[in-house]
Amino acid sequence: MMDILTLENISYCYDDKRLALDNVSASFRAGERIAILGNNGAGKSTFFQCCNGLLRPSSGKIFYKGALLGRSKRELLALRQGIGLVFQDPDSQIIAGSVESEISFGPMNLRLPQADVAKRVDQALEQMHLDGYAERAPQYLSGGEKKRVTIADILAMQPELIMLDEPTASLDPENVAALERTLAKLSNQGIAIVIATHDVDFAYKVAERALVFAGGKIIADDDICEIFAAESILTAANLKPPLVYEAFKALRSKFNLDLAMPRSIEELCACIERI
Amino acid sequence: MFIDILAQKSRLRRVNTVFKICATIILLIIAVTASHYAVGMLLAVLLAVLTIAIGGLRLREYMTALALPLGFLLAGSLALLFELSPQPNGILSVQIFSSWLSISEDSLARATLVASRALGAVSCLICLSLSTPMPALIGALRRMHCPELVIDLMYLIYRYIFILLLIHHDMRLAARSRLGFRDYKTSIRATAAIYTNLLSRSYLFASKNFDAMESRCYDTGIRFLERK
Ligand SMILES: Nc1ncnc2c1ncn2[C@@H]1O[C@H](COP(=O)(O)OP(=O)(O)OP(=O)(O)O)[C@@H](O)[C@H]1O
Ligand SMILES: [Mg+2]
Repeated sequence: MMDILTLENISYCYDDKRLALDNVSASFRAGERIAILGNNGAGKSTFFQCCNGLLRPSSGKIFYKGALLGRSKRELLALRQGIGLVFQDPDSQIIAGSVESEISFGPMNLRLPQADVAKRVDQALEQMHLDGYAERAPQYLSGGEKKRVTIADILAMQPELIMLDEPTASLDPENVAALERTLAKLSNQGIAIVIATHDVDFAYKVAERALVFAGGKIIADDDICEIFAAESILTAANLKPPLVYEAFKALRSKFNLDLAMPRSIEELCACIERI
Repeated sequence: MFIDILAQKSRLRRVNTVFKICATIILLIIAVTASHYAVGMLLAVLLAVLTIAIGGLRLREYMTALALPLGFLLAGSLALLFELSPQPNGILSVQIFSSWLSISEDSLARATLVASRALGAVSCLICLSLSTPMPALIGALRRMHCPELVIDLMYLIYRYIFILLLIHHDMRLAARSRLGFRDYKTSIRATAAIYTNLLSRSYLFASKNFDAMESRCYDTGIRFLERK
């Protein structure tokens, strides 16, 4: 399958002293679910902003659907239409005075007819469990509600690849579960999902592949199970394996199991049943 | 942002905004050109009843919104009420050094007329702002062919008022919870720090916000969905 986005040897520095991204390469295919892991300040948000054409890398190349990304406005608009970015801080993303108009901002910029915009807005509201919020003013919403609005913002633009920066940071467990379902559905439709997160349990459940950032470099890019199996990567990035993973590993060594690695508590319980 | 919250919950919110703006302008003209003080009084009462009975606001909320402009209005008309004259004349006179401060029939009539005109006008504007959330107002101005740039600025300013208030509020709370306002000296220092911080934060914020708009394909002109 063709890569949607490919980055080749990207570097970026905010000030001249230190590289925030240091010679980073990666590529994302349609329908893939990828977790971006790494410490605070490892460069995850910077990486996202480069992928979206908001920051211009000081060196390196970006390919969008096989074509080299230039500087023209037309190319940037096409890139941003295909690649949606949900910001880490909802307040820096929200600009409108009501939830409905906020979600309509992106589709309106795509110059779609009113009826299509209305349909997309309704759909996004439903996907993020925001029915009944359409006329609420964003300034009077809670942190988690704002986060859901910003995710709905991007869903309404129907991109081919969605980048979410800390999507679960302020969500309650029920909304995390709902987000998992929404992401699974999108991924089945062939939309690539890239999630930067510190919540390894969430990442382990949702993603199949993981990129590990440390000090602006990608130190690993592999199947997520392999990443959690590699002691050296975990120590280099100060990561801790997910609970389900650890629990299953303990069970496996005790009972000599020959079962596939479970991804969620439910799957783990099913494994325990079979012992 | 008391007025904003009231406007969001008014039942008159759904009435066509362009109609509301036009009605306000017409009433405003009637109010300021009135030649009898009863017109302004009548308008004030009618609009208050409209906002409270049909809009569904509480009398206390309406009065709180009206209190500030009303205060200015009274202070202004008091100044008009008195005139300085060499001899005592009119209804009431007070001697100040060698001249008299007096209220004449004339000045009384003039002050009541001006006050009632102003009261009518203020009621019109308060009624509009308590029945129309700002975004609806801006959307209607666009339909009335206000320049694009002005509209964009209005949307952004509206959003930023809340952001700055929120940041300011949070920083004050955070400073207070760390005993930043325990005495006069620390209060001064905390206040200075908060305002310096607010300035740099708002710069940073504006650039972040613009990035977010660009990432959603913002090109020219902020546009939102407007449902019929
Ligand atoms: N606007 C900026 N100006 C200067 N330096 C910055 C700026 N934004 C980020 N940095 C620096 O760049 C590095 C990478 O930051 P980035 O925001 O990408 O980290 P992150 O991986 O997203 O961290 P977190 O998990 O905390 O969100 C950090 O060391 C940070 O201090
Ligand atoms: Mg970040």
